[in-house]
Amino acid sequence: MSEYTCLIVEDSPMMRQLIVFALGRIRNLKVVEADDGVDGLKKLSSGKFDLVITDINMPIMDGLKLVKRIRTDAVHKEVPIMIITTEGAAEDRQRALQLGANEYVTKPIQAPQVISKVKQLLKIQ
Amino acid sequence: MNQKLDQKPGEVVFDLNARSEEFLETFFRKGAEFTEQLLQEVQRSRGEIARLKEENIKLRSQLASDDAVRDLLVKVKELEEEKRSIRETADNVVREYRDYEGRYMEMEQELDQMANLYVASAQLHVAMDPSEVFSVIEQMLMQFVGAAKIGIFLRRGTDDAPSLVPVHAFHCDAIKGTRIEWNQGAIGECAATQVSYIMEPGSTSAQGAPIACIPLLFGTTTIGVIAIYGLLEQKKNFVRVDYELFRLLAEHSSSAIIGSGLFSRSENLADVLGCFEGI
Repeated sequence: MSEYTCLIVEDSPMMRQLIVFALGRIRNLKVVEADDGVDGLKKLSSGKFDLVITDINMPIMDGLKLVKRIRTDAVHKEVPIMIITTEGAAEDRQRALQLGANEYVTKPIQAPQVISKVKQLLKIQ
Repeated sequence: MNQKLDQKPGEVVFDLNARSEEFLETFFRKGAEFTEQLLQEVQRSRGEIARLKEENIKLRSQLASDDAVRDLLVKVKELEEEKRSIRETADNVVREYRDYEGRYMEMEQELDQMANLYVASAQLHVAMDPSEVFSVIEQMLMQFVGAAKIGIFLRRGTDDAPSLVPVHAFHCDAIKGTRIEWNQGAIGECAATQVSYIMEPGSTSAQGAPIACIPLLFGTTTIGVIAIYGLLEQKKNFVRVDYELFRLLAEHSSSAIIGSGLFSRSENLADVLGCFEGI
């Protein structure tokens, strides 16, 4: 039985698959996938999530807008958010964290690093 | 009893008595003195005995204490030996743990590498037309390697005079409309030699020159070249898994490009499957 549910919002199927592979190593973690920010919001409203992982550059609604929307949502405003992006500039990181993201990871990702940060956010030993 | 005639009676008796008394007095005095000495000697002997007894007790306790110390020393030695043995075992356990940890890390890295390659390969071969394949290659290089500027060149011209033209450019518009001669520059040489060109970490490329070129091989023929012109800000150097991905790209991209190209020219799937009739 899954104890935690994680929403992955990423437009690249390749990257989604890679993140799903990495998170598959965490026990009791169920993953739900979304293509972009809007799809992510729809999926978020349909259930309870313990973590959101999102890209920044996506069509329709980008990751930063998604973070903003989640942080003003009455139900999900407390959910931890991790950003995984190609944007490596310090100002991008700062902006994302200011908007309410909890973690900021740049691509290319290292699976152990992502796993470790996810565990930290979910408070898993 | 003999008695002298000229002696007055009683006079001799008096002398004898005196002497007897004197003797007795001397005898008793000496006896008393002797007794006194004897008592003193007894007293002294008692003192000596008491002292010796005391000394004996001390010596006995000393001996017992020495035995205890000896026992303790033996125990300490045994414990030292045990400690050394435990430490040796603990060191071995730590060494083995580190060894396992290292192997675990290696396996984790291998697993990540395999996951990357599996995802890349799967994505390459599900693409239905060449432009989709180019996008997949672009995504692979950006998401997995951290490439920021990418160009994909395909072979054109005759077998005698082949050249390379760009068919996909990602953040490197400068290559659009160019033509690269076979065996000219890093890209042309990569195509001609079929050997990947990857710059040494830290070295700087000439203005506009690629930092990595990967030949696209279809059997023994080069059908094109993937060129990387720049990396993402956070990506400083190529790592081991990148080289594995380059190898996969060299071998799989070309067949994906050709397969998707042929498929996109056919009317439908039945048309494609018709090609296999008679096999």
